[in-house]
Amino acid sequence: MRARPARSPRRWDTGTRRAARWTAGTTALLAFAAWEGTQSRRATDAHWSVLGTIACALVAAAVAGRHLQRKSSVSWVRDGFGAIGDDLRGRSTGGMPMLAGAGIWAALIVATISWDLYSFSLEVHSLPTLSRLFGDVTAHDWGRALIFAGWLALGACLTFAWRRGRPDEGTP
Amino acid sequence: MSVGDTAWAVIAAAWLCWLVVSSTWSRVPSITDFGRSLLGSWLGRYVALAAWAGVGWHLFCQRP
Repeated sequence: MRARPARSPRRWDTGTRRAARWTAGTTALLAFAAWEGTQSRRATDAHWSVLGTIACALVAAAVAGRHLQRKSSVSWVRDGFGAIGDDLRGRSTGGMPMLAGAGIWAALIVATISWDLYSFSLEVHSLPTLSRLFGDVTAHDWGRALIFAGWLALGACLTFAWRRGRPDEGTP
Repeated sequence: MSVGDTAWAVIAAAWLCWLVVSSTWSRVPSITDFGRSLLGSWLGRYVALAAWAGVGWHLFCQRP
């Protein structure tokens, strides 16, 4: 049986630090969500806390992502339109499953938006809009806290996820 | 259960099914692929953050 190679102290320190940061950050966000759950949507504190969260996310995205984006914005737009153009011309690089998969994603998004707009236009009690469904949940303290925690988690993901790794972390 | 509730339940079930299928079948694009593509550039990331901010303001500060 081959012995497992020992972890280098530096890598261990990085892992421990990262776990500690993750735990502290998650605890703080959950406490913040629990406090937000006690607020009403008309409260000034709620408005400031949401605006502050948005401002922090925008600044954190700029600071944390410096030199770590995978693509320039120009090449992202060019590649995106190029891929859509290839699909429309039937030259999808991923083959039929890839094209059908993209079609199903598009159909789901269109169905959701269309039904929401239809419900909104009729303004009938039996046809709730998506925001009214969420409003029914956020009317309760626990629901508001739960949805707010999910919104914070999504924001953290959009702020920090899928960047190029730093050279000293050993990821490509 | 009203017509609207039933329609939303069907749409939610379709989303859930497709999320599971696309994340297990590697030949179709998954939500992770979209995320990686969207957040790969500054423009995509800030478009996503702007949408997130709009949704947050609407849900927690306006009357839905």
